[in-house]
Amino acid sequence: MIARPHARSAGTSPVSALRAPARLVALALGSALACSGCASGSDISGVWRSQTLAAGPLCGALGAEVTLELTLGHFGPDVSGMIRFYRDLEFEEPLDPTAPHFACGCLLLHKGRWSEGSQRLAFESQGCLPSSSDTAAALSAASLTVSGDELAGTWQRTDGTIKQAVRVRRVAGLEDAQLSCNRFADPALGNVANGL
Amino acid sequence: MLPLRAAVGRSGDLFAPERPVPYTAQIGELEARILALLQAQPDLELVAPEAIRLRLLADHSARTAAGIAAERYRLGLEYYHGLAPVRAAESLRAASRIYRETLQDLVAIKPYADTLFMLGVSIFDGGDAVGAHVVLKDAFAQAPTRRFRPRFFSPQVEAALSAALVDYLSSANFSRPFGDVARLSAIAARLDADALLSVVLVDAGDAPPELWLTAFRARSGQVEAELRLPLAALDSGLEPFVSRWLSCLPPRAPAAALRPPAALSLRIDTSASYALYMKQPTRRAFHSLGFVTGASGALRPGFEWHARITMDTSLSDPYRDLLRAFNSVRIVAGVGFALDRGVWHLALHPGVDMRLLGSFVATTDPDCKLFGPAHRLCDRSTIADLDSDVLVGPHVSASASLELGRRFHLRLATSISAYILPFDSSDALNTPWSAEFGLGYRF
Repeated sequence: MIARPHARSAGTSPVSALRAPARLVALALGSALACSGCASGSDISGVWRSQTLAAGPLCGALGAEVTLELTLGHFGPDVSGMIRFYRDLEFEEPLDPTAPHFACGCLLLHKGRWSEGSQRLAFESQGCLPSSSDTAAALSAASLTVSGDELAGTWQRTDGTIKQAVRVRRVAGLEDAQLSCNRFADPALGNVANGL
Repeated sequence: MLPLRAAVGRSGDLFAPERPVPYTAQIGELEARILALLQAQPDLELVAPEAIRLRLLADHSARTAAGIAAERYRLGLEYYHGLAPVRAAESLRAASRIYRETLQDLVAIKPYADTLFMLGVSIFDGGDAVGAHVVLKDAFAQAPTRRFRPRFFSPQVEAALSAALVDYLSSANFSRPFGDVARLSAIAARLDADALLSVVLVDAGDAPPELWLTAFRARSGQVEAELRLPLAALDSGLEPFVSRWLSCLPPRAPAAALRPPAALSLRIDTSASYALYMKQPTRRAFHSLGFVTGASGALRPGFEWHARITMDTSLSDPYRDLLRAFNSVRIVAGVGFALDRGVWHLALHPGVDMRLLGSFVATTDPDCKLFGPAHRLCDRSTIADLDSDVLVGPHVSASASLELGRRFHLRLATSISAYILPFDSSDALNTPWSAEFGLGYRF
C-alpha cells in the first residue's frame, strides 16, 4: 500500500484520500481543518526533470549524454524517492536496466531530509551511476535548494571523484510516477546496485 | 403556574387614560409571592410563569405566526380606516385566530387584546352589535384595564365599549381566564405540563380584592379545584387549597403533578463531530471529522440515560505518518446528570466508550510511505498497525442544549475518553477529545 502525498500541480487535497462515505463529511465540515492537516510550508513531492542534456562525468555513460528524473515523496522533514536516467529530453528512452552495469537505469534515495528554514533538500545514494566504470556501489550525496518549481545544487561522489551541478524542474505530481526500480542479481546485467 | 391575570378594571376609567391603572406596580410582586408559597409545597414541581413566557417566546414557529398575525392586524386597521369594516373584520378575525392557535395570546397580551378590540369595533361598524359585544367582552377579559382616548371612536362605539366592560366586570367567569377545558387541555399539551394553575386578581373597586385560583389537570381533562380567596388571606389560604387539591389526586400522581416541560422527555440529535487524539503514533496530531447521532431520556428528574454512536474519519497529519485515512465507529453509553435552566438543558454524562477502529496503519519511515510497507526499503518496525482493534475505556461528556421552540434544540457538547483495553493498542492511540455541534428533537 502506498501513501501518496499530494502535489501542488496535481490539484488534489488531503480529503481526496478519504474513503467515499467520509468524503462528504470532510468536505462539508472540515475544509478549514483539512487545511490544517496539510503539510505546512513547501511540498516538494512530485516528479522533477532536468531541462537540458547533461554531459559530464556523472551522467555521461560512455560519452552519451543523459537526463535525469527525480521522483520525490515529501513527508514533513523526511524525503524518500528515486532517480531515473533517460537518454533524451523527451524522457521517452530510459536507460535500459538490463544493459551492462554502467548503463544505470535507476537509483534509490537514502536519508532524504528537508530543511524548511533553508528550503534545502539533502540526500544520499549508494549504487550504480551511469558514468561509473566499476561495479561497486558508488556513494554519493546531493544538496539542492528549491526555488519555485526548480531544484538546483550539486551532486557529488563522496570520494570526490565526481562533482556535478544539477538543476531540475517539477513537471508532475506523484500520481502518475513510476516507483519501481528493480534490482538485477546478475552482474552481467545492469543495476547490480540500485540502493536496495 | 400560568401568568397571573388581573381583572381590576373600572368602568368609570374607560375613557380617562390619565388616571393611574390600579395594581400596576403590585402585579409582579404578587405573582412572585404566590410562586414562593407554591414552591414551598413539597409535592409540587412547579414551572414558573416566567419560564412559560420564555418557552412560548422561544418557539420560533409560533413567533413567526405571531408576526403574520401582526401583519393581519395592520391590514385590518388599514381596512378599518378605509371604511371597509367587513374586510377589516375578516383580517382581524384571522389575526386573533393565529394568536390563539399558537398560544401567543398568553405572552403577546396587548397585541392580542388590541386585535380583539379593533375586531369588535369593526363588527360593530358592520352593523352586528350583538356580535361586537361578545368580542369586546372577550377583549376586556384579556386587558381589563385598557383605556381609550375620549372621542377617538364615535359615541355609538364608545357606548358599546362601555357596555362590554360593565358586562365583563359583572358577569365574567374569573375561574376560566384562559378559556374552557378544551383550551386548557391544549395549553397543557403544548407546555408538556400535567396540570395548570391559573390565578386571577379580581378587584372591581366595590369589594375587597380577591384571588381566584383554578387547578386543572390534563389527564382527567377537568378543573379539579377552585378557590376564591381574599387577597389579605393569601398566606394562610393558599397552602390548604393546594393540599386539598393534591390529596384528591391518585396516589402516584402528586410527585408528577406539575413538572418542568422538558424534564421527562426523550431527546434525539444528529451532530457533526470533531475529534483529536491526545496520544497518537503519528509525530503530529491529526484531526477526525464525522457524524454522531444520539439519544437521551430522563430516568428521574436530574438524572438521564444517554447513548451515542459516532462514525468518523481521519484527515492527514502534517507529516503523513498515517498511511491512509481510517474510519472508526464509536459507541458511548451511560447514565448522567441533567439540569434545566430556562431555555437551556445542561448535562454531564459519564459513561463507557467503545471504539472500533477501521484500517489504522501509521509509520514514520518515509520509504514505507512512498513505496509501501511491503517494499524492501521499508523498516517494518516503525509501523503501528491497529487494524480492526476495539478500544474500550471510561468517558465523560458535557453538553448544553438551547431550546429553539417546543421540539427542536441546538446541541453543543465536548467529551474525552481514556481507553484502557486492550493494553497494547491503547498505548499507541488514546485519549480522544471531541466536540459536537448539531440539531436535536424532543419527544
